[in-house]
Amino acid sequence: MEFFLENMKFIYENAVSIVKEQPGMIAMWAIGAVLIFLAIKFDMEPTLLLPMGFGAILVNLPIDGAPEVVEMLYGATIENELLPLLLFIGIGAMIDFGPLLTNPKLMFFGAAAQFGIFITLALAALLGDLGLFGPDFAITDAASIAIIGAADGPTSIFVAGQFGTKYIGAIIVAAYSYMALVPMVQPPVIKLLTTKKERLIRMEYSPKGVSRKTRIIFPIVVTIVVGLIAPECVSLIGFLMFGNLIRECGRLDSLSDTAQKVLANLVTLLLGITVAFTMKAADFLRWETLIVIGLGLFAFIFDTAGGVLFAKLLNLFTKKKVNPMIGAAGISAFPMSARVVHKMGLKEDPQNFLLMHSIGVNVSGQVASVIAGGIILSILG
Amino acid sequence: MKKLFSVLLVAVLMLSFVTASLSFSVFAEGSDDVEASVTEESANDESVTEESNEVTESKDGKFDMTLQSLTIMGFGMVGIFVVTAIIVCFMYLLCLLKDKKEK
Repeated sequence: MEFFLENMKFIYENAVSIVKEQPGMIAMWAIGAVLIFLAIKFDMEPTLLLPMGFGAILVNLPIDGAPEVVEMLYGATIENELLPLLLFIGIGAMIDFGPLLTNPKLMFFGAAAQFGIFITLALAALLGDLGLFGPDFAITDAASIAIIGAADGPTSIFVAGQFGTKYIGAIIVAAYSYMALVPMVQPPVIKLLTTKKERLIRMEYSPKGVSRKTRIIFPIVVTIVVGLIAPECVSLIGFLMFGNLIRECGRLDSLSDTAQKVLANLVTLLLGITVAFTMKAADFLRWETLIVIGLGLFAFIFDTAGGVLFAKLLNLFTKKKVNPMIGAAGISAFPMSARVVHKMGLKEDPQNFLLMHSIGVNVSGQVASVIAGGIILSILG
Repeated sequence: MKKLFSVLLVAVLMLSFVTASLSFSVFAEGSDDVEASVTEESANDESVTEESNEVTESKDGKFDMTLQSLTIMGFGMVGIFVVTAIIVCFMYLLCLLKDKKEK
């Protein structure tokens, strides 16, 4: 009995000292719990938010063992950009470039929708100049924050990792959270920038068959072209296109299936818990984290705006009008963004099917976001 | 055939444009390095005049990072559209390929 009471006293004293001396730790447990709650209750990117939430609790325990293991995993898989690259094989195997190859012009919408990255870079730099981030804030930190606008987790991790920014934890949390929030972030922006008449524009879809040769050569050509022009992102685009080649070659169905399901799931599982290493209270609980999260939202809003406004600009010069809403699908959040646009189209006019167009734009956003990351790395790397 | 040729021509023209701009950026980088080394040398030189110090101060203004980011924004957006345009050209070319069955 005495032994039990002593143990209880020890536990109580430990708990009190944690609350008194390390309130940040408690706050991180709460953040972890919120992430787990959002993942389970609202189905918000559960594959990532749940492991991240649990990891946030794990690395903020007053013991050494568990955080050390996570740190080892982080060093072996994230710091050297291994996991984001492996994840890209899975993503490449999931993507069907057919709708884009049917109408290659859609690719420009993906390019326009990267505007959010660059305007956020300017805003982050301005905030840095104004001293909101502290004296050691560099343009590479601003670029790492801006890349949240790529709406692409692996690209964000890759670019932020290359620049070695200390804001990587907040960047990853913001990138994945906003990807889950696409159905809430995009519709108001689209509605604000378009008229009812524009949203009612119908677009015909004439499904031209894309030959197998085209589907096979496309990933190879893109890898060569991007590799020659923006060599810094050749690993990202290369792994993405490698995954797609496995899918399209028609000889490696079991590998394609493994890449789409097993590999993607395994990498995502490890990625979530490993990135949580960056969520240590001392690194994460800073008011700069809130600014980074705010800038992430800003990037997503301006990505959407960039795509929509580009479509409106095109409509000024072309006879065949496009529905400006499809421009919003140019962000890389695949396939949520395309679905959002399709649903909005159906809401305005139940006979207006924008899915294939928006999927084409969405797929182009996937490639364009990697190119944007590569260009930023080329300029600042 | 005519269509194929024109698309190919556009692709080649764009590639040469990109190569030219890349060479220009490498050249600009080189000249920046020279400028930096000159500034360093003059900073070490004790006989530097007050006037040249003033010039250095105005160069290292408060909003340097913002101005730099605007340049990156310009180059970045142009860069994305150029790379995209090249890929689109190749996509049009690739779409001309047909499978034997289709032929």
